Amino acid sequence: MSAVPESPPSADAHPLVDISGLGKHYGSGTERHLALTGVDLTIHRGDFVSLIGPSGCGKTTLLRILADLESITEGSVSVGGLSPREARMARLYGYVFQAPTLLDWRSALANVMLPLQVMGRPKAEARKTALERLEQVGLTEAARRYPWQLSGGQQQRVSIARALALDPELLFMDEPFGALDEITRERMNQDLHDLWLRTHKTAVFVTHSIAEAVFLSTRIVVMSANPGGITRVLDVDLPRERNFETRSLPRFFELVNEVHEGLRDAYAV
Amino acid sequence: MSTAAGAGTAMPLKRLIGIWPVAAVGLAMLLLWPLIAFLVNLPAAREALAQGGCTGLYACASTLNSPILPAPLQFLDGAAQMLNPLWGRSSLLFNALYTGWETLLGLLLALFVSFFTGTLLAFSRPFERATLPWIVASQNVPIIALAPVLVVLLGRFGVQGLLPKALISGYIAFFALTVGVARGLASLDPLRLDLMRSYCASPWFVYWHVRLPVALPLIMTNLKVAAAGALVGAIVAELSTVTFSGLGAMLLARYYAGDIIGLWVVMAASGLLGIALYALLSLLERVVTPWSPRH
Repeated sequence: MSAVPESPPSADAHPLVDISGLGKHYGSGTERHLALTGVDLTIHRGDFVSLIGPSGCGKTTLLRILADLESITEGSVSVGGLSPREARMARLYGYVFQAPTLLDWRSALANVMLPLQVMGRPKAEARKTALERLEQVGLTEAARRYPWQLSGGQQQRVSIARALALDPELLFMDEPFGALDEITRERMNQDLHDLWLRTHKTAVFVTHSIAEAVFLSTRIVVMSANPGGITRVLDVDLPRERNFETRSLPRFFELVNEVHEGLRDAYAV
Repeated sequence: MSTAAGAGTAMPLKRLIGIWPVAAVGLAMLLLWPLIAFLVNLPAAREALAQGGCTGLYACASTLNSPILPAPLQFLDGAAQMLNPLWGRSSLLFNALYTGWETLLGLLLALFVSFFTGTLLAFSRPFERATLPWIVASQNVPIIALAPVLVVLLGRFGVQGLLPKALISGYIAFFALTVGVARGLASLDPLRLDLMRSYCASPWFVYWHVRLPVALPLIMTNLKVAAAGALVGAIVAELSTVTFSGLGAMLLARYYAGDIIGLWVVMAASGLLGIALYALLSLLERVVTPWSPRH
């Protein structure tokens, strides 16, 4: 853990995600609804970026655009130096949805094997990889269980393991812990943080929870609604390695307050 | 975790308790049977007593040649006669299995065809527009009118024996199954589609690994519903054609012979066959959808 550098070297040379002048609207004419406008953001390798803001600020839309699940109407986006579509084709990211979105007819293990099967990996190899991923999220003993036999937190762990199956550079997460209770959520936050430190992934994380954003992130993007856009970007200057004590640091509270203020400004706009 | 383990051990006990109300009603009906039989046969029994063929009103009511409702012993005696020999052209068991086999074959044919039509309906709007009204309309032709026509028509092409009746049986099941397949394939959680899109999975992969498993429980439910109709179709097909095997043929023969006890026995056998089919398909459902939580 201590070997992890304070900030990744040559980070600024090639941002992993580069968004400039991004705009997105639905419909046309009088029905036209502006979801996002004038979004500029760069994300570097090893970053953990949280998108936070009121409902309708377009944070999920922004994430879906990066994942090429949604098209853009203006501006440009590059993911790993590619267009979002090419990045999707290259399986550069793993996506964790708001709901676990597991396939009920597959065991936890078979769910994690799904992306490997899409890639046509041999079954034995896929099995081995999937077991490793389940171990990474601490679910080895639940490998054979079906989704309905797992708790909400366990289901989301399987979903994270599945997103990691192809070992992508990027991890996109859309409020993955939104449906969990506070205690489970804190535990998931810690485990996700450890996982992120260990695997050196770059994460983009949509959330409604300020504490969650501060605890997990290296940077926090505060967004406002109507039209959706970025109002403030905060660097989280907490130690890179976070643990239970992190939540009681004075700096933690300061940052929570800063995000709070940012959100107040977002509402005022 | 605890719920999963708990469900495993608690289930048989729960199921045993669940059986009691049903068993109680069944037992009550069995106990009421002799009483009801006695009451409905009373007028005929009085006549028989007057003629002196039997002693005692109850004994007369339970030994009538053509009772309105046979007494339990008469019924069992009739069933025993029809099961002797156990296996043969005239045996109840043989004919029940014959009809059951027709029905299963019909269901299989219907399932096979409805996979194509259901898939086309789910994925092709023009196909749906052009054919759905016809598929619906075809279900409004009474099977009893259609069956003889189909049998004659197929006979002209040399299709005889079991197959025409299986076709008629399948014809009835076809609609419910097609609707099940089409609706099952079309009902997909948008998030799951997004998930598969994020993997750039091919449409074929999505069909085989996501859409079909989503559709399976619905298809199995519709298959169980369709089975009852398919059994009716098979028996009607046997009734409305010149045939010497199957429960329909037996019904017709008993009817012409004026054998009322025999009619009751065949009717009961038809009911048992229907239940057996349902049980068989429920078992199949367990096998093909093992992931469903058991209730």
